[in-house]
Formats: sequence, structure tokens, C-alpha cells
Amino acid sequence: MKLLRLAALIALACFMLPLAGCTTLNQIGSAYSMLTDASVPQATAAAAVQSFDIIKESATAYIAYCTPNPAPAGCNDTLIQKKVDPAITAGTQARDGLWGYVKAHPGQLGSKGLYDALTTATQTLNSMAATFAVAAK
Amino acid sequence: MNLTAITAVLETALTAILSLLQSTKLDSATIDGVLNTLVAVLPYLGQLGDKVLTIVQNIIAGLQSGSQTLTAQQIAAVDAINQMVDADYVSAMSAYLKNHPAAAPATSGT
Repeated sequence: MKLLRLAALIALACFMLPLAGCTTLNQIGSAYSMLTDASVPQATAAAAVQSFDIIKESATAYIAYCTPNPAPAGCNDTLIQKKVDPAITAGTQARDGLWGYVKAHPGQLGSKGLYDALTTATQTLNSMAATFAVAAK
Repeated sequence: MNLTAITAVLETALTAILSLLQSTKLDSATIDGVLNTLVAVLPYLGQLGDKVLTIVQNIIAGLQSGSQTLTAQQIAAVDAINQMVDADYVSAMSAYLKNHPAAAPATSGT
């Protein structure tokens, strides 16, 4: 049942996104193996890096939305100054650390420590996103 | 740009990241969750623009590639995305600070 759901999601993603050659479930599953204590697959690190980039682009959109003065409803200078920008800065540093390691070690596994640093930065952003949701109501 | 849409995308993207990063192992169930969230984000992509769509397409392509290692082309694509996202953020923050001089973060976001 789980596999059927995954297949349906992939099919939906393939339908909605014009990607060339949507591959099979087996190929997707084979892209990942268990994380070890010390390393992560490069493809996993790349997905984490780009996922952070989605957050950063979303934060950029939020800041752009709040740029007019007076700002629209839901904007908060203190939130942007004290939470958004510092969290984005920390996350960017974590992203660059992990990605720099991946690029410096071609064909090798990524650093789990740097991966965890990005996880921590993401947790901070996650708590901030809840604040955004409150501000949007 | 609708603030509710922005926050919805932010929250769903964060959920995807956490499900990906906090897993002790990446099996089909984990990937299921990530893809589920990415699909949920798709309806909002039109409002956030082609850039986010490009990033999500790249992530899904990576999930489907069947390889644990990256090609030079894939690395270059991520580099380009990182640079684009960084430049967008710096530009947006600069414009914001011009209109809100009292809000002067000590950090740059890059």
C-alpha cells in the first residue's frame, strides 16, 4: 500500500512537473541507502542543500512582501531583523559548509557532522515558520 | 504576492526538509514523505515564481536519478541555484532596509 502511494505521488509529480524521463520506483529507491554514523550520500546532501534554498527563496519572498513602508498586514520588522535574517545567515553557512565538503570530495560520501549542522539550522527555521503562520492570520 | 501562500510554502518546504534531514535512514517511507510534501508545495509555486519551481524540479530529478553520487553537471546546477538564491536574498534585504532603515540586521544572510 505504501509503495502504491509512493508510485502515485511520483506519477503526480511527473504529471505536474515537465521532467524528462520520470523513472521507476525501483530507481528512486536505489538512490538512497541507510545513513551511517559518519556520512551521507552526496545525492542526499544535494537534496538537503536545495531544500534549504527553497526556504531561503521563500524568506526572500516574505521580505519582498514586507518591503513597502508602511508594510502590509502580517509583517514585523523585529521578526525579520531578529529571527529571519539571523536564521537565514546561519542556514546559509551550514549549507555552504556541507556543499563545500561535497564539492571538495568528489565521488565520496558527505560529512554527517555538516549535515547535522544544516539540520539544526533548519530546525530554527521551522520554528520561525510557525511564527510566520501566526502572522499571516 | 499573498502572505498566506508564502507562509504555506515555507512551512511545507520546511516539513520536507525536516523529514529528509532528521531521518536516521532514508528508505522508501522517507522518500514518500518528501515527495508528498513537494507535491503539496506545487500549487503554490506559481505564486513564488519559476525559481522555486526550478529548485523543486532539480530535487525531484535527483530523487529519481538512481545514483548516490553527483555528476559535474548536477554539482554545477546546485551551484547555480545557490548563487541565484543568495543574490535574490541580498537584493530583497537591501531593498527592505532602504524602506525600513530602523531595521538594520547585523548579519547579511549570505
